[in-house]
Amino acid sequence: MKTNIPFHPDRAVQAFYLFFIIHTSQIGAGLMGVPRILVLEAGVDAWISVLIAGLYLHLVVFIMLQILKSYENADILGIQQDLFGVWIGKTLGTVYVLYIFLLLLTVIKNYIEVVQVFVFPEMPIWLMALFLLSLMVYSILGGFRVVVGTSVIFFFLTIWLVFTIYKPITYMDWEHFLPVFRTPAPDLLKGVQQVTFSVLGLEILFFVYPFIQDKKRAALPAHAGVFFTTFLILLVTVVSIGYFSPDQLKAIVWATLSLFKIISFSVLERFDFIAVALWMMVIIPNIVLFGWMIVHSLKRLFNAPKKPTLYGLAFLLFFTSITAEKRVALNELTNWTGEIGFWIVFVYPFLIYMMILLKKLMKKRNAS
Amino acid sequence: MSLLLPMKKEEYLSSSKELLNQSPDLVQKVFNHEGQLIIVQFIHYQINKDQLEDELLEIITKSNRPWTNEALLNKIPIASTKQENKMDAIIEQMIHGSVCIYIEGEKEATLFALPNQEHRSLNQAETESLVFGPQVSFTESLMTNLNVIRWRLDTSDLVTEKLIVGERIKSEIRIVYLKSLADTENVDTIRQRISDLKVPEVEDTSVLGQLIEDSSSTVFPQLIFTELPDRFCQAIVKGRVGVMVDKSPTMLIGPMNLFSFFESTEDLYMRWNMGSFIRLLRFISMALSIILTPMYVAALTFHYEIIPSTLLVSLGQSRSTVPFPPVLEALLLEMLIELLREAGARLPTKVGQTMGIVGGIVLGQAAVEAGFTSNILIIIIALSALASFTAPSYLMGTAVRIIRFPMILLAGAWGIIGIVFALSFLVIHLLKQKSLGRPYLSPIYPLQWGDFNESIFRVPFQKNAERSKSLMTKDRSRYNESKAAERNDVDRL
Amino acid sequence: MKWSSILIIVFILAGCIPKSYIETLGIITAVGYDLTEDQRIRGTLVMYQFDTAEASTSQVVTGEADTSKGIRFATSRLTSHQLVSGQVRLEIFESELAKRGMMKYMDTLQRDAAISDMGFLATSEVPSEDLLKSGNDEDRPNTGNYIQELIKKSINEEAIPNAVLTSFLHDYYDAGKDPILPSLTLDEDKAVINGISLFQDDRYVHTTSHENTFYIMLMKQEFEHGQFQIQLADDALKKYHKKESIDKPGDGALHVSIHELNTEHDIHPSKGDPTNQSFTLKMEGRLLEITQDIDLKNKEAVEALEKQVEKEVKEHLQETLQILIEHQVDPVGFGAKYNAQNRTNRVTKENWREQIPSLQVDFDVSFKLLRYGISE
Repeated sequence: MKTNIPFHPDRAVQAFYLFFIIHTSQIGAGLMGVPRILVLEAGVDAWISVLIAGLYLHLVVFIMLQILKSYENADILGIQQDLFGVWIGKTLGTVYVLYIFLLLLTVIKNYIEVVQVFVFPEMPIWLMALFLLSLMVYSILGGFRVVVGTSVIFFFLTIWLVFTIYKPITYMDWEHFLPVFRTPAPDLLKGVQQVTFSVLGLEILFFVYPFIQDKKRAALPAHAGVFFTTFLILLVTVVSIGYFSPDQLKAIVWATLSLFKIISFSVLERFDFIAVALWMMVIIPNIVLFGWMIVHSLKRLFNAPKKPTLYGLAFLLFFTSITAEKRVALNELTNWTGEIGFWIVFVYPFLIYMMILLKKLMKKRNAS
Repeated sequence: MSLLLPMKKEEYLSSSKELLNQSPDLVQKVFNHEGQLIIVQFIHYQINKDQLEDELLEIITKSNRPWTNEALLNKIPIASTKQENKMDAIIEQMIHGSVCIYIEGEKEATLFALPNQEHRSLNQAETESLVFGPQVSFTESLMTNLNVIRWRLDTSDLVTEKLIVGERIKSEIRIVYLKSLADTENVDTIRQRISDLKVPEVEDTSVLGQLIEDSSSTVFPQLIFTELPDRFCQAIVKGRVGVMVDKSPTMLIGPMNLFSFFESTEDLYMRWNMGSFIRLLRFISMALSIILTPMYVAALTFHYEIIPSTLLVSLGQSRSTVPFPPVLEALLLEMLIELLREAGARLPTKVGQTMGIVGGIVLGQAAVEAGFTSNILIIIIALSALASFTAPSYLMGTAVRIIRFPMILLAGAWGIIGIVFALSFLVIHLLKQKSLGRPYLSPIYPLQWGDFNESIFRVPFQKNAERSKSLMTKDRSRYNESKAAERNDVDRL
Repeated sequence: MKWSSILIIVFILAGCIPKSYIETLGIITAVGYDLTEDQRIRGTLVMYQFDTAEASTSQVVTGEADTSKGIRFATSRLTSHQLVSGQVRLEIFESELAKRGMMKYMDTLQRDAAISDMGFLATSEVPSEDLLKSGNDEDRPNTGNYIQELIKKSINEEAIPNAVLTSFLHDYYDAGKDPILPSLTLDEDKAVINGISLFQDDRYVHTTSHENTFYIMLMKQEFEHGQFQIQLADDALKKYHKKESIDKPGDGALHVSIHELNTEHDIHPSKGDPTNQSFTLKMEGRLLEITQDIDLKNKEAVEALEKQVEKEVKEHLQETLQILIEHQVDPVGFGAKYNAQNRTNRVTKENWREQIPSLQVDFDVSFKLLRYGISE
C-alpha cells in the first residue's frame, strides 16, 4: 500500500463538497436523542456543553487538516503506515474499519428502533435493515461521486425539517435556562463528551481528503460543516430544554423527534410520522458514507476487491442488525461505540499530529 | 467484386437491370448522337422529370458535337454531379434520385442528382403543442429540416456533420452544433456512439436515441426528442448537440439533465416571472403526481393518525362501502386512467375526445356510486394524472406515471416507510444516471448555483449573462452584463 | 434480473405488516374517565366507526378497568372494530378521579407515540360519561367533538388557558409551578365550561369561578386580544357624568366592558425569599361598553376611569391570590420564577408546597384606555 493515493481528476470532487460530506456524516441517528443525554449530564446548561464541544470540534478539524497537509495526497491509512510501519499501520487501519462498522451498525439499529417505536411497532427488523442496506449498496455501487452526490442531495431533501421547529419554539419557556452556569464544570465536560458521541463521523475527512480537487480551499468547507453540525445540535438542545421541563426531558428518549409531535398542518394532522419516516433520508448519507469508508479502506489495506467486499459488508451488517433485539443491548452498543469513537476521532488525531511533528524534528536534526 | 466500367452497351444495360433486380421502374434510353451511343438511365419516380427534360436531355440532344464526360460536366447546368466507375455505386446513386449518363466506351459514368422526394410541407406541431410562440414542426425530409435550421441559425458557425448508419438500409444522420460553443467532448461522444453502431437499420430518431443513450434499464429518458425547430435551435444555441435522422420528423438533443425535461420553449417567450412560475408549477405537479396517491394509500392502510380530524369522517364514510383494500382501489383507478389515455391516443381525435368524457365522467361517477371507489380517491387520481401531463416532454410524463405504480405498491405494503424508501431509491437512481456521460441531476449535483438561473428558474434575460456551466460551453459568457443593462432612452435619469 | 425480481416478490410477501384499514377501525376521538363506587375507573370512549349501512359514524361505549389501556381492552369486546387511540383529541377526567392524581392514568398518553401531544385535557364536575353522552344540539359529529371545539375556541378567545397535553405536562414537571385545566359541567344537558380546575401537581383540588379564571390568567399569561368586564363602585365617576344626560349621576351599577385587552406583566421575586414577590401588570384595552353616561371627552374622566379599573383589578388579583394560597396551589409559577432568578434557597416541588401559604405578592397594576368605540 502506498502512502499517497494517485490523484484522478475524474474521481475527485470539488472542495466545497466537504461541507456536505462532513455535515451529513455527523448528523444522523445521534441528533434524534442528543438533548436528553446532554441534559442527563449537564442539566439545563447543556447548551454550554454544545458550544464547548463545537469549539473542540473545530480544533480537531484543524489538527486533522494539519496532519493531511503534511502529506502530498494521503489518507489516514497511508499516514498510519508511514508513521508506524506496515504491520502496526495495517492493524490500526483494521481498528478503524471495525470502529466504522460498529458506528454503521448503531446508526442502522437506532433508526430501526425509532421506526418501531414511532411508526410501526410491527415492522420486522430484517426488512428495515434490508431497505437501508439495499440503498447503501445501490449508492456505493455508483462510485465515489455518487456517494458524495447522495450526501448532497439528501442534505437538501431533509434540511427543511429544521424550519418546522418554529412551532416548538413558540411553546418554549425561557426561564428554564435561568440562572445560567448552574452546572459544575466537570458535568459540563461530561456533557461535552456526550456531544462528541453524537457527532462521530468527522473522521471521514481523513478518508476523503485525497479525493478533493482544490485542497487549498478545503479548510473553509470542513469548518463550515462542523459549524453547521454544532449549530443544529445547539438548536435542538436549546429548543428541547425550553420546550420540555428538565425532569420531563430526562424521560424522553428521542427528544428531537418528540418535538415534531406538536406540528400539524391542515392537510396533515400528525407531522411526527412524516418526520420519522423522512429521518431515513437523514441517515442514508450516514450509511452510504460509512459503507464507502469501509469498502475503500479494505481495498487500500488488503487490496480487497470492491464489489464482493460491499456485498459481504451488507450481508454482515444484515445479520448483525437482526440479532440482539432489545433496547438495552442497543444502548450498550451505542455507548460502547461512542466510547471507542471518542478516543479514535477526538483524541487520536492529536497523537498522530505529535508524531508527525516529532518526525519532522528528527529529520531536521538528521539533516543538520 | 463489383463490376467496373467501361463496358459494352448490352452488357451495361443488362447488368444494371440485374443489379436492380429486374425492377420495372428502371428507365433506360439509348440515344444515338453523332455516332455515339449515350445511355440515359434513371428510376422514373425518383427524379424530377421536368428538370430532366429541360436541363439535361434537351441539351444533350441539341448539341451537334460528340459528348465526352468532361463536356457533360461543363455544359450541363446541374450542380450536383458525380462520376463513378463502379456499377453498384451507380445503382445506389440512382436509387437516391440521380440520372446516370453513360457514353459507351468511357471509363466512368456521369451522375446528375435530380431527386424528387415526396414529402409534406411544414405543418403545425401536433405532439408538442404551444400556446404561444412558433408553431412550425419538422417534417420527414432531412433537407427541409436542415433548411429550416439553417434559416433559424444563419451562421457559418453551425456545423452539420454527416454520418451514415445502417448496415442493410442506410440512413443519413446529421450531427448539428455550433462549433465555437458546443463542448468538443460532447460532440465526440455523440459522434463516436453513432459511428460505433452496428445495426441493420435505424428506424427513427427515437430509435437512434435509445441506441446511443447511456442507460437502457431506467424509465427516465436521457435525451430529448422534439419536433419543434425552435426548441431544437434553442438547445443548439445553448451549446447542446443535436442529431437529425433522415426520414424522421423528430430531432434529438443532448446532453440533457432532469430539469431540462421540464423546460418548455414557451418559458422563454413568456415574461420571466410567468415563465418561472409555470416551470415551478411543473416541478410541483410532478412531485404531487408521484406522492399523492401513495400517500392516500399509506394513510388509509396504516396511518389513520395523520388524517386531519375534519377529513376523517368523510374519508371513512366513503371508504366504508369500498370492498377492496386501498392499494387495490388505487391501482384499479390508476389503471382506468391509463386505459383512458391509451384509448384516447389510439383513436381518431374526435372519437378520442368523446372517450375522455365517457371515461372520465361516466365511469368515475358510476364507480363512486357503485361503491367501487371513494370519491376522494377519484379527485386525487385525477389530480395526479393531470399533473403528470404537464411535463413538456411526453416521455418524461410517461416515466412519472410509470413510477407511480411501484410507489403505490410500496405504500400499500409498508406505508410511509415504503414511500420514503421508494423516494430515496428514486433519488439515488437519478443520481447514477448520465446523459452522454454528463451527470443527470446537474445543477443540483454537481452543484452549480449559477445554472439554477436557467434550469430551475427562468430569470430575466438581462440577468442571465452566463451560459450554463454544466454544458461546458467553450464560451461561458453570453454578453457583457453591465453593457446590456445600459439604456439610451431619451428620458432616462 | 430474474432472481432479483423473485427475491422482491418474496420480500413483499414475507415482509407484510398488519394492515389497519380505516374502515375496520374504531377511531377514538374523546375519552372520559370516572371513578366507580368500587374504586375502579370507568372509561367512556367516543369513537368514529364507519359501517356500510350505518348512517351515524359516532359511537359511545363504556367499560371498567384499572388502567386506561385496560379500558380499551374492556371496551373492545363491545365493538367489531379495532379500537385505536391515534386520533384522541380530548381526555376528560372526573374531578373525583383527578383528586387521586392524574399522572398514573396519563402514563400511556406520554408513552404511546401514537397519541398526539396536542390533545386537550379537561376535568369534569359531573361524571364524564354523562358529559360525553349528553345532547349535542350543535351540528357536530358527536359530543366529544363539540367539547373539543368548545375548548379550542375558548383558548383562542383567551377565555381559558391553554389545555393541551403538552402544556399540562410541562407545568406538571416544572418545579414551582402547578398545571391548570378547564373544568366542564352539564347545564341543561349540554356540556359547558364552568371555570378552571386547580391542581397540586397532578391532584385536583378546586374549581374556580369564571371571574377568578380571568385573574389567574392575568397573572399566568399575557393577553393579546382578550376581554373582560368589571364592576366599579357606583359613584366612582359621579363627577364626570354628562350634564345633558337624563340619568342621575351615580345612579345604577357602573359596569365597564373592555375589549382588545393587551397585557404585559413582570414578576420580581425578592432575593433569597421565594415567598415575597412583586407583580407589575400593564394593561391596555378598548372600552366597548359602560353602563353610566360618563363624559369621555374629558381627559380627567378617562384618567379617573383608568384609576378605578386599576384599583378594582388589583383588589381582584389579591382576592384570587388568596384563593390560590388557600388551596396551596401555584398555577402562576411564582416558585419557578424565583428559581429562574436565584441560585440559593431554591424551591423544589416538595418545599414549595409548604411555602405557598406564606406567599405575599405586591400587585402594581396600570391600565390604559386606548379607544372608546365610535361614540363619545
